[in-house]
Amino acid sequence: MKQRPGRFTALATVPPKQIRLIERRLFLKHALSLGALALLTGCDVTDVDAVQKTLRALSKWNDRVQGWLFNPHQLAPVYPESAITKPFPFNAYYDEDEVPRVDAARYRLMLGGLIRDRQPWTLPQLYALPQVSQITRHVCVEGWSAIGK
Amino acid sequence: MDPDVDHPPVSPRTVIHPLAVRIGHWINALAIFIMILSGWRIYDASPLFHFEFPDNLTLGGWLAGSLQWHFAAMWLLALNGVVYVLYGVFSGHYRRSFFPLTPRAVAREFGDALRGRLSHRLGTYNAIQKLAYVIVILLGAVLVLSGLSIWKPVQFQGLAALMGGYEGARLLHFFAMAGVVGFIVIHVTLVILVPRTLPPMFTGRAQRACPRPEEGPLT
Repeated sequence: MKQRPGRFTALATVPPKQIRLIERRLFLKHALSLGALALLTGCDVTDVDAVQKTLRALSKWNDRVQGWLFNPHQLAPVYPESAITKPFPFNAYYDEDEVPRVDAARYRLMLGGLIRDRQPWTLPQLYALPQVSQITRHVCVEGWSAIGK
Repeated sequence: MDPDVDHPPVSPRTVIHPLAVRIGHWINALAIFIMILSGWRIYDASPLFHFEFPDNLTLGGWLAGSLQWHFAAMWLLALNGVVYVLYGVFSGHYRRSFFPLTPRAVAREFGDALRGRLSHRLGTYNAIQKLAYVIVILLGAVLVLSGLSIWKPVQFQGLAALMGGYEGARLLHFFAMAGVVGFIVIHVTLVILVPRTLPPMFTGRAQRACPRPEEGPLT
């Protein structure tokens, strides 16, 4: 390997104190990679059974806290029509121009779960239900928010 | 080195970090570590700016996993923080360690720091250190309050309104995090550069009263 002048020769002229400092910096770098290693296994940490149980238990605890915090008289603020976010962002597995076409006449809303009446709903039945509309801020679990009607 | 009247040397074996502070410090270190790394993954789900945190620097594996970590460690962070602040206020720890803190002392010692002449005595903080610790404690409070506003923006809408609403609270949460990360980088770098500051954070006791002469001020 060809020695590049000015790179290896310079090291000899560096005072020992500075080399100690550089060594400390290397130590810092290694300490950081150690941290990175711990982080790389982060998904494994999450997968450990005991960790999962703890996280789930705390999640249930948070549900109870949410219940206590909820005040039925403290509702989301409403906004004027002019405050509506345009275009309103949405999450889907397709773009807006690829939205699937639905045949309104054949559309059925299927119901499931712990309910007595699992009769599917047609669109006219849904339209016949009492309707309210509200302009408010939608806060997505991803973090973004937008005002919509 | 001239004797420093503002920062008299402490005798070795004197407790410079009370037990409550040491326990609080390490619980806080763990909680902050989890909060920041899981928070970065949550940020990545909907970045505020044109960058993302690398996946392997985050905790939780995906958005829902990171949210679980974040909403679990928030209890550790907030409860430990409340106990620490109450202790700091009522034990006189804050008054003794952080005050008086005058703008003049900060300006003077900031100049000293730039010239590498800042005084360092284990157990006694210089004005720059005092300022840094006071700021990071305030940032912690901002993080908890903005975090509450983001977590429950309807129930805490009054609190959120103080920060410019949900979106304002989100920005504030991000910048307070950035401030804390900046503090941690400096804090950890300084501990590595002056390793004798680390053992007292476990044992509570200063091992050496004065800096070793050959170390002198770091330039």
